[in-house]
Amino acid sequence: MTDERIDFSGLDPTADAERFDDIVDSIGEAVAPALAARRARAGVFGQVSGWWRPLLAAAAIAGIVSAATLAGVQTPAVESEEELGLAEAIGVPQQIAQWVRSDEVPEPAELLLALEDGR
Amino acid sequence: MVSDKGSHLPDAILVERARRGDSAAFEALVRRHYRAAYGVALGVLGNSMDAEDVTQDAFVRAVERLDEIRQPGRFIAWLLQIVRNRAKNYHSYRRVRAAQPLETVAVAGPSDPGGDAERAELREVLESALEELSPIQRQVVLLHDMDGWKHKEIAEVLEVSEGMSRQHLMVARRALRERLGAQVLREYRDD
Repeated sequence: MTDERIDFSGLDPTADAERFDDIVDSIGEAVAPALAARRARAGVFGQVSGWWRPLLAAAAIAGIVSAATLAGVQTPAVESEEELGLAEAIGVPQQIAQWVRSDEVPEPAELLLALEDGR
Repeated sequence: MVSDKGSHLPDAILVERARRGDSAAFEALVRRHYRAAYGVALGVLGNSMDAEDVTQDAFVRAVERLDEIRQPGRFIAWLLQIVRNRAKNYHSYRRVRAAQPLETVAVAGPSDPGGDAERAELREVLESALEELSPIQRQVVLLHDMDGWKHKEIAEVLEVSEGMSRQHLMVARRALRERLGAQVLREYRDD
């Protein structure tokens, strides 16, 4: 099956190679400042990214070292906090907390004493 | 700016390079897609001088907006969207451009006055015939017959179905044949 195309060579902007080169040159001149700005930006980003990687690596190492150190320092504190329980953690005197846990009912005088000691 | 550098590379790579300011990469994109961009501009405007103006301006806009391309491999679809928008807003755009003129490339040079006159005459005849068509018919027939696009590609870029693309082409060719006669017809194998 044949397909009769219209001959648009009279309108084809690339048919005249010399003129098309002129068109491409004209566009090239018009976009030159924008492309130069892009090159400059790419250069800055390139330099930043050059520093960025070692900086990131150093920060990661510092982070790991700090985390390990903090973990070592804080471990006993966490254990004692578990022993104390929630009541002590929020400021309830230890004696009273023990009574609460053991369901033991203290005498009023003992309670007053515990409160005074807890201040 | 005559160069073949980058002409073999896919659009995605050329766009990435152009984003970093590589002028050879952008030139390759211009050379590769100028005709299609011009075809769409001519399709919308129906005038070759205006179409050329819009096409060149669209490439300048494209450089400014290269970072907005989400799929660099689909540069042509993105570019043609810019071309269509610029062409549709041509009259208001022209007022702005009057203050900031882009270098105009002369239509006829002194090298071949006879050939240039012939080309100018043929261009006039074709433009006059194209005026009979709707903008979408002009875009389809120019992309298909001038730049060799397939209906699938045209449909995707012009946001019509492949069937409609074929229909527009058929109607456009029929109208142009009636207007122009046999002188501007070529026989090709169907795609």
